Amino acid sequence: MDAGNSRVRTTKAVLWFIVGFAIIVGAARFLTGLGTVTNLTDRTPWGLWVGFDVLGGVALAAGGFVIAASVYILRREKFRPLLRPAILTAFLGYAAVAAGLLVDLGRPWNIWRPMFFWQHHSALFEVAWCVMLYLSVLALEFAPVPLESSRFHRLTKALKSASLPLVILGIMLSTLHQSSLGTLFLIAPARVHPLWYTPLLPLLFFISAVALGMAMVVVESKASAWLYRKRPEDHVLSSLLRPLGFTLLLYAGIRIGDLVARGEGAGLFDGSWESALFWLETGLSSLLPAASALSGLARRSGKALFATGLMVVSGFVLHRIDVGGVSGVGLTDSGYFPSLFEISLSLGVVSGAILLFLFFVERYRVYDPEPAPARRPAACRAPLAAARAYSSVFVAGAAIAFALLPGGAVFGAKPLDMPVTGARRVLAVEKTRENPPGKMLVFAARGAAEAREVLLVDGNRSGEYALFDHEAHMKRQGEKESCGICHHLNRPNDRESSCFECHRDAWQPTDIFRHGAHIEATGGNRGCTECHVTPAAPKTRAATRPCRECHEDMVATGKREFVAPPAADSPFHAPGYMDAMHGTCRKCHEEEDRTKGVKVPELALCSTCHPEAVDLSPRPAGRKD
Amino acid sequence: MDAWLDFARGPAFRFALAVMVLGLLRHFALALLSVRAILRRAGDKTLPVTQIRKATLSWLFPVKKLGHHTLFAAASVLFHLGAIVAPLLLAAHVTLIEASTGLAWPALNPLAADILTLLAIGGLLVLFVVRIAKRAARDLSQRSDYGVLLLVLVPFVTGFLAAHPGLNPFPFTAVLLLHFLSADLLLFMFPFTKLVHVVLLPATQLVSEAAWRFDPDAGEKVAKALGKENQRI
Repeated sequence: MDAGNSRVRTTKAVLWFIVGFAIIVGAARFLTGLGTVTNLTDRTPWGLWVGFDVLGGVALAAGGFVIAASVYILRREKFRPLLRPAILTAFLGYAAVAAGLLVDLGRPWNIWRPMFFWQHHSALFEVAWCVMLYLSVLALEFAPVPLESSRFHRLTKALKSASLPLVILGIMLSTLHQSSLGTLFLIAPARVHPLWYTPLLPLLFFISAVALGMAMVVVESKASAWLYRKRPEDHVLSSLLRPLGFTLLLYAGIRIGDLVARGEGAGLFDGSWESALFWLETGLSSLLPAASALSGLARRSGKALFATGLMVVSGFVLHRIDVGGVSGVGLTDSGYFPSLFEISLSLGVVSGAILLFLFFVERYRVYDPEPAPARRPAACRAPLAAARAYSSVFVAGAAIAFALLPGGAVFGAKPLDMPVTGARRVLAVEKTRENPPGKMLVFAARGAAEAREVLLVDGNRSGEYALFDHEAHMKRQGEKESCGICHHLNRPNDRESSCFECHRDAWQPTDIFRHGAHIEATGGNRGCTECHVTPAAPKTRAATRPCRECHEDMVATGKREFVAPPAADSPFHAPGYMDAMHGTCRKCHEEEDRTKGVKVPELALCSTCHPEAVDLSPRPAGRKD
Repeated sequence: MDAWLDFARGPAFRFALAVMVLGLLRHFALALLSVRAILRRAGDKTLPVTQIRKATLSWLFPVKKLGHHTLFAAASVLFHLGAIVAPLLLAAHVTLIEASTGLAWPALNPLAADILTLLAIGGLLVLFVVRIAKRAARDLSQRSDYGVLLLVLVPFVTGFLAAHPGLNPFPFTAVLLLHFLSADLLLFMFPFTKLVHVVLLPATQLVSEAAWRFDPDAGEKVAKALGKENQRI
């Protein structure tokens, strides 16, 4: 193999760059969790990694069993030159599936469990066993290739003599597995669009895998020939066109016939984006390539042959992605689109597999050796030139990924930002509550006689509100003088600042100190020592003059200070809005209970203060959950 | 300005740090691979370990060289001492790293940090002047050698000014931004300039010792490459 030509070098450089990027993303995923680098949610737990890497990877690996069956079972010896690359592709495809699964699983360290804890009713149990077994079988099938040039001659011989049983086992396992991935989605009808959901999914997955296996062999063989500037095996590949074409027609016939028979045919032409996606996918995967394969177009031209294979491959990978999630986006209203990091990790897994493929191709006899052409000796290259070039693009990819990662992926996940706004004035009436027993405020009906103005406290507008009788509290605590009990801190030039002005996020603490404003206010550099009184010490907040020494009116004064004023070494991080509200209301009521015997029932129950704690976020009509 | 500060100490810093760490590791690994390749080709199993160790140590602690190039050697040692110790053990840096990663280590006394920073700045200026003034050094220098010295100078000067606002005639935030950006650029440049010696110093001794061991049939190969086989060279 001519591993030194510019095509190989450029391709490998691009692949190493992607692998470098993906390795950093993968490290961040394992160190800080799925949420920091993916757009996956509880509503869309399966995204690109399942659709593309797992489902697509398994399908792309189908070439292994298709060609092995043709050679060993059907005795089609002319396909033998395609056998080794097909088995290698299948092995690396399944290795990519295993890698994709590991990054996608929430708890990948439990991957061994299906081996010992058998759950016969689980579709994933069967999938897990098939992946493990078939990956092992493929490794054993391919092992003789690297081993034949080693000193393990007996082992190589033993493995070669076991190839027929291994091939039969492989065909059996992949038949099971290809179809069982379809079965997996039979148990999730609410997540798969009717144009894709059918009881025949296992059959469609299997037939498409057979076609995809043949197409993948075409694509991989043509791509290798282009890359290494070797003679393409068009005469052998062309023999695959007839069976490929008929398999594609069979697939398209069953697919469309099933939809019509089940009364879903109208959806094919309803103008929805799903119908457009269906035709794009079906046209790309089966209709166009079937026409090309059976009309002789692909047989006459090498480029058309490659295009035919590529259409089948991309069309069926799209099919797996559609079934795996895209078709269900409208049904689940997930609005999911994979993040840059999900896409890069998927590409990284594929790039890694291709690099391994090229490694095996260059080092071992994967392809039949060609007669060496008379060439002038290769130009003298610097030692380790390839390692130098590829490692530098790898470093570049990794560094760019590290720079682009969100803060949460580097320093650990934190809650999403959720800014809050001020309380609103609304009309409410008091009513008796049965459980827990007591009185509560509810929104007043229009024109209600006893309605009075209260505060609607729902800072982040999530619908989990509380109605708060501000006037009654003021009266009970001592009118104006009591404000400082709750409004414990004033913003500069303000009095009784509202809660949300400092507690600005629903969950997270807010930094309420503005350094830049203080630099300006104190007259630039010379003013630094006004706050940083010990210039030699590190300029931390703890080592800085307490704010109250300048802002004398910052801490509200009142009858009593219920919320403690910020300590001298306060970091000036206002607690999250919810913590501040709960901390103030509950603490005060518990104190009143203890000192005055004023009972407030069941403060531990959400419904005591949040009578209608329901999710009021927008929900489109027609959602099926 | 705050957005620029966040960029300089966020993504830009991470990019520079990753380039530096991975780039230096890459250089180190390649140096080891080169040595392995050289030794394999030479078919020579023995390595002049003692010579290599002595050469490396003599440059790490150039006490013996003080006799010949007193000023240069002294400035070099003092600069390296300040340049390595001050940034790593500066209390402000330790606090910053602890706040973002939770990792912390003991910090220097502020006065000691100031002295070390000034030593680094002073040592660097002497190195710069010596490089210009001495003809031998000037002849060996490339433009990038002067550039690297100036590049190293900027974060130390801006860092000192940021730590002592009373001595700083420039706007504080601008100096801080320059400190961040110049430190980012410095980290980024490590694998691409002679700064790479931080990992390659021992390896270069090894490579230069090993590389001078030729193939047993090296002469024939040279003749063949030159197309002068069986000729007198």
